[in-house]
Amino acid sequence: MVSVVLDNVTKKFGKVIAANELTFEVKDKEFFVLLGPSGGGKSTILNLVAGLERPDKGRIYFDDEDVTFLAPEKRNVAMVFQTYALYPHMKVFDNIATPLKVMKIPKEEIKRKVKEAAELLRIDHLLERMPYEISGGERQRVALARAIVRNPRIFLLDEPLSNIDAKLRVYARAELFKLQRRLGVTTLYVTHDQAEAMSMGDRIAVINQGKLIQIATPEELYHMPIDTFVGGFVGSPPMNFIDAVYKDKKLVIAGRYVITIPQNVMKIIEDLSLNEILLGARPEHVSINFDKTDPEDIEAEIYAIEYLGNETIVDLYNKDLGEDKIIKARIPWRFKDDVGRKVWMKFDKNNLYYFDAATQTNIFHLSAKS
Amino acid sequence: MAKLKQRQEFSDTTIAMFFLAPLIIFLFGIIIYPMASSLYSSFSVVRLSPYQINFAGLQNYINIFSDQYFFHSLSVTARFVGEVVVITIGLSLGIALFLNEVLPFRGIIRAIILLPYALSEFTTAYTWRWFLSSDWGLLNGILYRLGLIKDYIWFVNYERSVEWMAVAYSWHIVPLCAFFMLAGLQTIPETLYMQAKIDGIGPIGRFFKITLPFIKYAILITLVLSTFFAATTTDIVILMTGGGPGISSTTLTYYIYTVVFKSFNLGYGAAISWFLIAIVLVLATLYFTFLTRIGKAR
Repeated sequence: MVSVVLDNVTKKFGKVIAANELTFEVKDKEFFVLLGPSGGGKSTILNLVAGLERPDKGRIYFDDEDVTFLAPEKRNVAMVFQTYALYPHMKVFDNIATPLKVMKIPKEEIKRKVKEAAELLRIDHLLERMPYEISGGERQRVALARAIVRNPRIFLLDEPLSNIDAKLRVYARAELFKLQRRLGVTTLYVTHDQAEAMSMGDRIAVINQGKLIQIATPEELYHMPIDTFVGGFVGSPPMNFIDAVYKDKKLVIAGRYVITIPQNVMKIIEDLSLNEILLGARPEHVSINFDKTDPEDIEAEIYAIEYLGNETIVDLYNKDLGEDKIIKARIPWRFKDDVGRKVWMKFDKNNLYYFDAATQTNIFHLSAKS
Repeated sequence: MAKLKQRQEFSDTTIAMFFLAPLIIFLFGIIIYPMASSLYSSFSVVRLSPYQINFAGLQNYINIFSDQYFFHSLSVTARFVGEVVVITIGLSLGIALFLNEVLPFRGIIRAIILLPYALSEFTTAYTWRWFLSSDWGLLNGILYRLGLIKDYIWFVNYERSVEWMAVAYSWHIVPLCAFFMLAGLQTIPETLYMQAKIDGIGPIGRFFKITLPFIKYAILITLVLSTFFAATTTDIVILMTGGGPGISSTTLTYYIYTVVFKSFNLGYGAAISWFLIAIVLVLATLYFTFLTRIGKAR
């Protein structure tokens, strides 16, 4: 049983606030992902949990134990870095054995444990090699083996898959997730890749500029993003945002396109007396017709087409929506190469997101708060 | 095309040679000719006035082995080199480790530490001579004012002259060596230290398991450089101690200087010079064999 609790943790580096009054709990055996753009403070959080940094304010607990000022080696956590941080002058075996050697465990036992870990990660044939003699994917597994060999209370993984080539990464994701489930160790996983976060995390914490933006399951994050930042960060290609004004129980775009909205949305907008609304539409919820089929269709011009085999990303342009605004639509089939053609785009009304333009917050979250 | 070819009367090499000629002549004049001349002198007896040079075969080299002054100065050189190497490696490693930390005003501190190397050996020698002088030296002055001594101390005495010279010379070359080591230190990824901390490796273990393997090349280069610098320097001896008191700090280079410029025994001086070169070459070979062996073992 190991849960991790951060209680109002703040860490500053000079004027930069890397962690800003963070409070959250990672549950026992949970695969917890810290997601956010680079330089947002995710790695700092890992370093704080590992004990490599001390918070300026706040407390960190492992279960009920206050570890805020405990030295890293006394926390029994294992960390895997993006660069793997293998000791370059030691053989793979010695790399994996290092944490055990420090614990002064008998040699025979070290051998057995290293072999076990190596077999689990299928690197037992590499034990006599040097780190520079093996491939990137193999190095990553050596780093993982070194992490699991000591039976740590917590895994801290800092972008462990970023340095592997794209093809291998997809496999590595699944393998890493299975490994975590098998070992049942509470895991904090840092990534800037939303697909990685969505596919692996039990829960995801979105972090930006040292602040916790939202903690949610992947489903919640996708369907109920708390603000435009989360909405834009999760999902690829990112969500389209369109300025709209609430007028006569309808949304009006660019002064001329009218969109009717569901009753519940209307009620929230009126209750909060909101006026300017940011409409969010994911590319998969934008469809294209060559003819106007509905009075609410919006005309557009095909600006560019990216054919990806299983789907096509179509960039749409309408000057009225904004001088350099591109609306991306994801079409699940091969789309004919018709750049410049006039088309009609339609938003899937059941899957639109509504944000208050002033606070950039999802109106459902606003109404829940008030 | 044909016209173009006609105009190009000189080949690239010829033109290159034309521009390089002055440099080649210059280099020949100041390096190759003097070296050849010195090598020839070492096999000859040379008289200056009237100028006379008579081939003497290996006589000068044979004389070396019965020359007690030679063996004395060889031992002084060995002692001097040994001390310089130890002081230089120790100090420059310490300074490099210090400079590698995140310090306020890091740029300024680095510049200040580099200063001694920017001085000439001449200035270094005189500065230390004044600093250590037994009658009007700064160090004596400071110690006296602080009430630590009642009588002025003769620092550069018969027993300790080589040590003080080694200190002064190390002071001069330490900055350069420290920067070699600093360059090595800066190639070490920070995450290795973080990983080591999590693995529970203490500061001493981190130094031997991470820092040292990364800078062993820098240390070896420092070893090679300080050895050769110290074995071949003359300025500091001439200007700081003049080889004394007595002959206590007469290094091989200074002995050669006296043989050539005080006794005007050019042939014999040249022979000792070449003998010194031979020793240095042997050392160089040993060092570099060692270097490549470590390189292979990585």
